[in-house]
Amino acid sequence: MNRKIASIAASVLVFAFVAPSATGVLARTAHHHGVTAARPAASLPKAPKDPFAKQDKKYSGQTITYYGGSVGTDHLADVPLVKAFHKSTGIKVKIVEQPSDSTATLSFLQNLFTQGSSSIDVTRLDVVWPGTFGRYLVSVKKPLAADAKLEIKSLLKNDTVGGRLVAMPYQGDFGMLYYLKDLLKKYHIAKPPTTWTQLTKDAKKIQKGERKSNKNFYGFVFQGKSYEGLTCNALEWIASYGGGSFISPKGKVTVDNAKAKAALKLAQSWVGTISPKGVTSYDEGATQNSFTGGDSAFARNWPYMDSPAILKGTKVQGKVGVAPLPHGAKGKSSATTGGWQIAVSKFSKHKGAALAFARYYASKVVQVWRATYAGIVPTMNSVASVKSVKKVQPFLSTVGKHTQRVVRPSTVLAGNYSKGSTDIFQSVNAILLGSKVSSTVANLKSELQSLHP
Amino acid sequence: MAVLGGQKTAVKPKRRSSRTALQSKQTQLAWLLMLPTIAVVILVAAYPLVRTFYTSFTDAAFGYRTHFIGWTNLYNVLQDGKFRETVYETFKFALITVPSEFVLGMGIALVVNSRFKGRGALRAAMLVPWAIVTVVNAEMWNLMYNDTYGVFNDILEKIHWPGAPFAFTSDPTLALGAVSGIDIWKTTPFVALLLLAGLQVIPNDVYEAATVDGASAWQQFWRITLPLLKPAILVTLIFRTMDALRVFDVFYVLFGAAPCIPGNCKMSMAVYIQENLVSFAGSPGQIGYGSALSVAVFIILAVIVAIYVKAIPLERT
Repeated sequence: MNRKIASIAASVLVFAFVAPSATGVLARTAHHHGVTAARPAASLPKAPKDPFAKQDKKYSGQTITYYGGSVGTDHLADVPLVKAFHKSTGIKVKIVEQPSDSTATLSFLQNLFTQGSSSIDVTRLDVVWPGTFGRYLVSVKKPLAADAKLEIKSLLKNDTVGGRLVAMPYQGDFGMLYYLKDLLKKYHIAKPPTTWTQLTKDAKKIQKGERKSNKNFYGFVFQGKSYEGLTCNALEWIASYGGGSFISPKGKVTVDNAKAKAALKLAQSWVGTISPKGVTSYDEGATQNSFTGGDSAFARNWPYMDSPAILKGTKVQGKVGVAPLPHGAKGKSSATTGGWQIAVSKFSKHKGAALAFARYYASKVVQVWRATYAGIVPTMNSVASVKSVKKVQPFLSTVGKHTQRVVRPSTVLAGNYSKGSTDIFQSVNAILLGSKVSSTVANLKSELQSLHP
Repeated sequence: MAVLGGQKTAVKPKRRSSRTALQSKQTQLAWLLMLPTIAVVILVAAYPLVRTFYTSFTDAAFGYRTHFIGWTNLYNVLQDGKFRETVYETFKFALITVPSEFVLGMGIALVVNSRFKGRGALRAAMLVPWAIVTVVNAEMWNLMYNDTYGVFNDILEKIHWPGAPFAFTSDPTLALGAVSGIDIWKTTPFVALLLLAGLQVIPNDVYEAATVDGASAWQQFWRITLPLLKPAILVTLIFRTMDALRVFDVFYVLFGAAPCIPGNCKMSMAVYIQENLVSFAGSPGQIGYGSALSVAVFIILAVIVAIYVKAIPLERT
């Protein structure tokens, strides 16, 4: 029972004086749907040249503006890419960094597009935004056809608005099950659980045994706080039971079904048994603290937690295993997608050059480079098999390929998504805190129906 | 004399008129000098305020055409049960934090106002909680409140407190206390500082005279310190009440967009406004509705200030 909290508090105190800036903390809480691994940020090696350079050279001399990755790894990866693209095509790309708080980026883009501004040619979009901005974006279907074939299908569907493919995915985080290998061995559990009922059983067994030496040990931790992360977790439970994704792509509210309710009932039963009571206020950070502190056997989190930069020096270093998330009795393992797409504004004055850059940015060679050197999770399954990627992101082949990628109902809800998602995570949070499943889900159904006429 | 007097009467109107000329000149100059300030105030305070009032009468939202819809939004605000819950919650928060901070702050101010060794160091140390960025502060407490690895539960379990560990931030019966604790810890130094400033301007001879007359320390506090501290107290209470009713950061960090259902509302008015005005800005009519909520909160705060100013009358000096 090692509690480092005093030293953490002390270091936060020091931090508060040395650098009175809240951005670090905000970045962690705000970046719930695409947490990027904190990797040592040395300068990155040269980026690959544009595979379509021959066609793209006709735009040589033009300058476009890219509203791209925020400070940190994302921006560090953008710089060499832009350089290599300029060298091979002659197109100059100016980068404007997005703020690390994605809500701020969302409002900025809302302003920009409603004013019809041409100041941004290319932008990256969160996976939940294409529905909101679809009408302001250029179709990328034809120019990006070759690479689109390699992308994960559900992500392409997410980026298709009113029948038009308006964005191309290039970064796709997904939920994974983390477990401690030594504990599975200790309690004679042959392999990580594949169903949620099995997980509940295994977690109970390990928890019972470990409680003898650690009074605060729990079987399973996840993101149960009332925020976007809970929508992601709940979608995984429900989809893996075959209970749909709250709203069908055609706009029918589907959440009020027996499978979805069975999934939510099971999740409700975890709180206070295999999960701490406080899990209803856990985000990724709290999940990570509990798991890396050796206080839990299983955890649900994004791939970022499976990186040496995070695990090195913790109590669980060398003991962490990852597996696809469990599923319901007859369902399939499902992982919510978080991540980024690239899109071209219809107000751009250099659409040709902008499309060329978007094509380069989402292309396979660039995804391989980004995965290898910046630790960014790709959106093409074929990237996962590349040797250099396999070495740094082994979970892509062991987990990513064996889990169905599901997306939140953002494209169908469009501008109403954040309201819909708030309805979802607040209802699920209430369920975790003990509200009755059937009436809460019925209520959620009518709330969602009012959003989608 | 008569001549003199006549002169006087003759001069008087002349002097008056020249005075008014000078006065009007000075008034002109005053307006000219104030012009930049007025312009800035109009730009940064009046315009946004008027604009918010105006927007509250529309159905503005990102990506939609804006229409004037009259009183509909304000009417809906009055019917909004969730908003009412957040108002109760915020007032409960203010009723817990402001008196606690005031009593603790007064105690600290009286202590550091007296003479003793190391007073300077203590005055500096007392400001530490207030010097920490609120968001960092809230995150720090969030860690300490954690039910499995937080320090509070560790201590409670070590002394075998019944019922420990507690889920401070998610248990509906503990959440308000948890969030108030952070605010009290952070803001008591600020209250102490304001009151200390008030204490320092009370002249010492008043106390000396009172001591000579045989007044006890307790009598001195009630009869001298408190009345003379009135202006500082008014400023402190107005500041703190306004801050408490506008609270955003601690609630947002601790609870995020937590559900607000009767009996379990973890949302302040400001968080509810942020949710409607910013997070939901892409839904039809939401910017208009969020503005109407802002107007409602503005009116609530204005009423509170008016009550304070009426309740603690200050003699004009």
